[in-house]
Amino acid sequence: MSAFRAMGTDVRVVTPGLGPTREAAVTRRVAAVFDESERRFSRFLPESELARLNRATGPTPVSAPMLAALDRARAYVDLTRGLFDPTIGSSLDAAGYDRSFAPGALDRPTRPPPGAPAGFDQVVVDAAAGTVSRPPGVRLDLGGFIKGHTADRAARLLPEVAAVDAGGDAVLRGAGPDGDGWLVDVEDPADAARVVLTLRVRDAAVATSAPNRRRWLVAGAEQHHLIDPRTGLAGASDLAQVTVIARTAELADVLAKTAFFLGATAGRRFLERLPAVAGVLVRHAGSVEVVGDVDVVDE
Amino acid sequence: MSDTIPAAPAINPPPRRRPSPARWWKLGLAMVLVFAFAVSWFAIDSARPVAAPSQVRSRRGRVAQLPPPRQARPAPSPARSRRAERIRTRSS
Repeated sequence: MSAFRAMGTDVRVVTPGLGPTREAAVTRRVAAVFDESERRFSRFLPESELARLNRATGPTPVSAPMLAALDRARAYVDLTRGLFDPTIGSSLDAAGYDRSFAPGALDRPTRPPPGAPAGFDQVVVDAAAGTVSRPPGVRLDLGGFIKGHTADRAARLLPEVAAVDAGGDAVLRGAGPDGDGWLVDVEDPADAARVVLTLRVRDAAVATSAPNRRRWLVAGAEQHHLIDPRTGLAGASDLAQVTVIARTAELADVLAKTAFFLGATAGRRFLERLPAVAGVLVRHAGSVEVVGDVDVVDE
Repeated sequence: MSDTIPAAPAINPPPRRRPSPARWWKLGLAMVLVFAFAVSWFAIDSARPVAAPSQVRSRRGRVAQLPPPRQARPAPSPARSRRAERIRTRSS
């Protein structure tokens, strides 16, 4: 197992069949993918392509990876009926999340000015011209969505049995170290030292959304990073955490956030309708519900 | 010779010592102390509140729901002991 830090989180690369030297070489290539992605899509690096796009006015030329990301994002906006929406960037700034997260780093005594109402339908992507236009004040955030996509890209560099784990958003290739599937512990959102259950996963990706870790204080009130696009405010839910297992980490990340905002009943129905998707819903009261076809380990 | 068996010589039992009044007092006091200790222990144990396994009563009297308890894990097999190869998913 090798690790490095990128996108504000610890990234692990697990290659059971490789020796330390080859694993280190693979990890360097994975780290390069994350580094390239962060320099392009970070909301916080002033010279990233996304930061420049968020400052620009009028049609702005963008790279092919940016066009492709926004094209995929639009498909997810449609799939989730707007519960995934990259135009929450202004709302995140207004909530005080305007720099890289660290415990206490976002605390402030006064509330920032409110963000402009936004929706992805206000963003014009001209694939033929290679440009993107957005109204002034509408800022894009591709956070977890791009982290998942980067894990998906990095996983293509790995051997047949290997995993890349970007702070809980993980792509698991093959049948795991013992051939029976990767063991995936789902953390208890009420107690990080505990596990609510363990899954056995093969050739799939997992992602988890919860407001328990990225929290800060603005004018004495607690904030978290899961912004509900319907309100532009930190989302409330009867769910404490959602874990989704899907084909890609990008899809799993989008679906986990969507199910969180939908809540336990509608979130379960939403996940059940999607093919090759499973989930683990944890309510605030502590009950755990498994959705779809997933192998739960009896330990 | 005579066929009669001579009678065994009489054995005088040792004189029984009667406990002195001071020994009676010590024995009685010890029994009273043991009884008092047993009664007080039982009373304290009976008064202790019993919570359901999934509930904890906070100091303010609200009942907090805990996640369902997990079963104890068996001793890890060699494969499972490779904790570095397990994945832990969480919000990040």
